[in-house]
Amino acid sequence: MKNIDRKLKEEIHTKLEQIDVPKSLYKFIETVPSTVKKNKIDEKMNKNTLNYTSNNKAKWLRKKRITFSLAFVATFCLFIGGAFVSPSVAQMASTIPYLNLIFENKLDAKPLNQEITQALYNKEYKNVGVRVSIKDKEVEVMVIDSEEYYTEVKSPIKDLIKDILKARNEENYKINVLNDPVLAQEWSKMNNPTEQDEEFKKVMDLASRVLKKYGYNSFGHETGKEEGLFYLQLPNTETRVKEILNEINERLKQEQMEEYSFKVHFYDPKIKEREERLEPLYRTITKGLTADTDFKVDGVGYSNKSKENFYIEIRTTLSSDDPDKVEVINKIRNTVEDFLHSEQALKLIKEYKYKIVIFSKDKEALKILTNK
Amino acid sequence: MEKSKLLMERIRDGDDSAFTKLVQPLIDKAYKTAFFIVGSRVDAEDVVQNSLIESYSNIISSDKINNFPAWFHKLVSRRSIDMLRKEKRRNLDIGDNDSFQSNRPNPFEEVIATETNNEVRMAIDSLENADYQRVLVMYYYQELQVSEIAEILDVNVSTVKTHLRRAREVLSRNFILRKGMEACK
Repeated sequence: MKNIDRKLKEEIHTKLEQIDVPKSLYKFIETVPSTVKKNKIDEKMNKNTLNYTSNNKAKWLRKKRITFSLAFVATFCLFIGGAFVSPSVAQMASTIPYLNLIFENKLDAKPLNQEITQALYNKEYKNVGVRVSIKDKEVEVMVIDSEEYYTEVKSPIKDLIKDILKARNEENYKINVLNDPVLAQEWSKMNNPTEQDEEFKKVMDLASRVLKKYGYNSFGHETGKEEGLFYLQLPNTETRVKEILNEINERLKQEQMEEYSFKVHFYDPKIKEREERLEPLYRTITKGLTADTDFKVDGVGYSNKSKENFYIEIRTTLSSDDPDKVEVINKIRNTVEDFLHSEQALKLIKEYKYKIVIFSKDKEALKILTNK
Repeated sequence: MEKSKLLMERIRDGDDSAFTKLVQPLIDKAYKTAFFIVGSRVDAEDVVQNSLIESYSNIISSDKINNFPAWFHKLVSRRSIDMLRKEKRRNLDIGDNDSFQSNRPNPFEEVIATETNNEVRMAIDSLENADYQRVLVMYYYQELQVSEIAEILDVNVSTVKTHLRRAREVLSRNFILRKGMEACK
C-alpha cells in the first residue's frame, strides 16, 4: 500500500473511532426479531409513505409527538373555521381566491387526514396515529396502546372512518386499524419523565437563561441524550459564540453538571427567515389542494435547504398519459398562482424566491412555477 | 465467515439470541459510517435500526447471504446514501424540514475541529467536497470495492476512481505544501 494510502486509512480510522455510538442501538438489536416476526415493521419496509412508517421506530415516535400537537392545533383552527362559514362567506368565495379563503380561516377546508384526526380527537380516542395515502386509497390508524384498549376501540374507529368517507363520497378507501403494544410501552415511558429527563430539562433551562442574556428567547436544540451532548442553533452572524459556550459551561460547572456539553450548529438567518415567511403559504397550499379531490393531489412537501429558492413539491395521482392531465395541472397552477400573486401572499414572500414543481405519480415534472 | 453462517442458521431455526451475537460486533462501525455519511446522530441511528430490521428479514427469508459482515456494511452504506437523498427531497406533510441540518458542520469537520497537530489530518480537512470524503470513508474504513462504492453512490466506477485519485492528489499536495511551509519557517 502506498504511503499516502496507509496514512489516509490510519487517519480515517482514528477520526471515526472518536464518534460515540448510542447505547440504545445495542438495546434495539434485542427487539428486532420480535418486531419483525409481528410482521408489522417489515410489512412497511418498502412503503414510501408520507406520515409515519413503523420501520422507523425512533423517528415515528418523535413524529407522533409532533402529529399529536399539530392535530390539536388543527382541530382548534378547524373549529374556528367551521364556525365562521356563513352565507356571506359563500358570497366572498366568488371574489376571493380559494386558497386565500383558507389562509384567512374563512373556509373550512378539511383534508381527509385532518377530518379523521379531528373526529378521533373529538371522540377522545387516546394514543392513535392516522396515516392517509390518497394514492393507495388507504386509511391506516395505529393504536399505540394495550391489546385490551385496541380490541375495545378497533370497530368503533373503523365505523367512524367509514361514516366520514361516506359523507365525503370517498368510499373507495381501504381502512386498517392496527395496534402496537411494544410501541405503547415505549410511548408510555416517553410520556413519564425519568430522572434523566428532569436533568435534561434543567440543563436546557440553564442554557436558555444564558442565551436570553445574549438576546435569544429560545434555542432550537437537539440532544444526543446518550452522550449528554446538546446542540445550540445559532445564526452564523453571531460573534459571541465562545463567550456563550464559556458561560454555559461555567454554569454547568457551578451546578456540578459537567458531564453535559454543548456544541453549536450554525444557520443562515436569511434562510431561516425565508422558511418562517413561506411556510404558512406552503401549509395553505397543502391544505387547499389535498382537501379537494378535483386537484388529484396526493401530498405536498417543502424544502428550505437550497440557497436559491424555497422548494415546494406537489405530488399528484395523475399518470403521464392521463387524459385530464392538462386540465388538472392548469387548475392547480391557477389556484396556486392566484394565491401567491395576491397581496397577502406577496407581503410574506417579499424578495424571496420560490420554486414549485408539480409531479405526476410516476415522478415526471409536469409543471414548474417560480417567481424568478 | 463460517461463524456468521452458523449464526444465521441458528436465527432461521428460531434462536433470537443468535441475531444479537451476529450483529453486535458490527454496530460500532455501522453507526460511525452512517453518522459520517448522513451527518446527523438521529438519522444515523435510524439508518442502523432500519438496516438491522432489513438484515433480520433477509436472513429469515433467504439463505443467500454468504459473508454477513461485508453484506451488512454494504447495506448500511447504501441505506445511508438513501437517507441522504431522501433528506434532500423531504416531503413530510408535518413540516419535518429543517434548514438547520443543511448548515450543520459535517461530522468529519466536528471531529477534526477538536484536533490540531497532525499534517495528514489538516490535509484531510482541506478536502472540501463531501463526495470525496464519503468515498474515502467507504474505501478506507468500510473497505468496500470501487465497484461497490460506485453502485451505492449510483455513479460510474471511473468517477469513484477519479474521486480517490483527486483526494490522494489533494492530500499529497497539501501535505507537501505544509511540509514546505514549515521548512521555510
